[in-house]
Amino acid sequence: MSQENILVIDNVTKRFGGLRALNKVSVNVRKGEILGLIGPNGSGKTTLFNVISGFYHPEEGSVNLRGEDITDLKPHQIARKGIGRTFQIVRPFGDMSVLDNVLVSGLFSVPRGGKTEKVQDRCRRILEIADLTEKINVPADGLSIAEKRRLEIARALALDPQILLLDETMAGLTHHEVDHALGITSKIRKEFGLTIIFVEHVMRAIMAISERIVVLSEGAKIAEGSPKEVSENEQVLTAYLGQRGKK
Amino acid sequence: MNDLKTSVMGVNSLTISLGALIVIGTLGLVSDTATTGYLHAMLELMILAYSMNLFTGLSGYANFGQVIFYGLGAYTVAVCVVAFSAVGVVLPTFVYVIFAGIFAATFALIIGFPILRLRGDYFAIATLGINEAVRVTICNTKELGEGRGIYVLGMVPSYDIKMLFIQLLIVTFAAMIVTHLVLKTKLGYGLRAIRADEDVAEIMGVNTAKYKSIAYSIGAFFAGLAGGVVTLQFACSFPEYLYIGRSVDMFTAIVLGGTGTLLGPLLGSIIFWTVKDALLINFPYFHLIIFGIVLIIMVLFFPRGIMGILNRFLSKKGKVLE
Repeated sequence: MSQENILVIDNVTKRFGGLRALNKVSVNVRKGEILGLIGPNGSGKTTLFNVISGFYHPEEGSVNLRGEDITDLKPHQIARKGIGRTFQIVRPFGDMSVLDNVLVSGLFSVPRGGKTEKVQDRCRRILEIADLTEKINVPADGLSIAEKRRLEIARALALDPQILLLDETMAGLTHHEVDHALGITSKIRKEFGLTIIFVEHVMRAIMAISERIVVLSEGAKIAEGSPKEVSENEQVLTAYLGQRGKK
Repeated sequence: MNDLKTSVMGVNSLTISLGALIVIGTLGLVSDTATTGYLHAMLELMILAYSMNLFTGLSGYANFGQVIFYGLGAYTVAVCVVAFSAVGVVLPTFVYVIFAGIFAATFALIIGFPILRLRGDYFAIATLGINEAVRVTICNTKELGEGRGIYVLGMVPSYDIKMLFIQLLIVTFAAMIVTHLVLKTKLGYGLRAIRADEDVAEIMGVNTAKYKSIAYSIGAFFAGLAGGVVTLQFACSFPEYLYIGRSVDMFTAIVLGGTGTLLGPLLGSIIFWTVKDALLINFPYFHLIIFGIVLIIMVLFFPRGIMGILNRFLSKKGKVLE
């Protein structure tokens, strides 16, 4: 694994009124790794994603992508610089067809004058990987939850990103569907050589694919390391299970 | 790949639209003045429907101030004709009409900057407010003729309904082509994404502020052109042209036909206009009740309009019309 940092989150603080949703969080993301982001509910995982993708602008700290400060850029600028994301609560473009959903980000990722046909071909390829080829003309509203989650991944991939932020893409899926989703995630990584940051509560998924894990609790980073290290970390156990959870 | 074909029996939506336009054009040019006038008014509504469709139809931003661009277009022509005649310059009428479009588009670009930051109902209310503000301002400006309006009788080179009808045909043709192109390109996809979920559109790389502004201005351009032709038709420009009911007419037409499509504004305005006209003769104002009910039914049960109903059947055969 190369040690080059593709994304550097430096001392980020984000407040909502009196609440510190993120408190001086620093995370370095290495190029090509799969980084798991975990923590109890309300620990700031999604807020961190929102800061990275430009939805929120932090009060303090900075976000650097390949050495370029992207802290104050607008979401569409960040998207075009190569950060794609999915949403915890799925948000496909409901009345558009599956292909059109993917075409939006496909079209907007290419520089001015890009050929629509070429983009179409690329989007079809991506839908094939996401196992949605048969549903290409179905309105996104008509998909199952598992399919909607795959569509969101496909849509983010069509941006041709370098970093993919996956926000609980396995929540609410059946055992079988989680396996399917895991298969697709590794396929994507192999095929596109992406850096993936993902938030997940399904422990089986986290342990299976993450190489490194960052743990947030109440807006602060409390641990970082390999899945094994993190699962044995005292502070992490306390955060998840409370004082009485300790051995 | 089992893609939906965007044509039915080899005929696509653009061909149907242009075919309909040729039929309307031929009818208008060969018949008597009364019929031409009737079709003239219908085309005017059609252009306005297309103009509203480009922004409101595609992006889903409810807008009750589209008529403002029509009114401003009308006033632009009136003011230009008076000003140019004063210095003895007479330009071909279509040049004034183009000025009207450009002025309306520029105005849309300027007011769009603040108001396009608003969303949903707030945007709709803002358009309503600006519409009234401009109308009242015109009514109280001496240079613009206050409530009486500006008369250009005798200053316009020719007062000829067939000539004006041809101008409207050209504008409608342009509106159809532009709508077709918008639907096929990035702009159309971006706007439909905004309609579905603006925040997500932004995350998917759509510069929402820019694309909304572009669509708003293109729509305004066509409304301005229609307004310009109207001043030439009646040789005057009234504050009445900014009457809000006109915006509701356009809105009804596109909701009836199908928002965000190419055929929707065409179908919607033809149906709206013929029904409204038929009702106006026998039961004045009754059409308001009828279309009020139609609008409610459409929005509740057929949000995609006639095109939505049509496509529901066509898609079973693997086809779709835009």
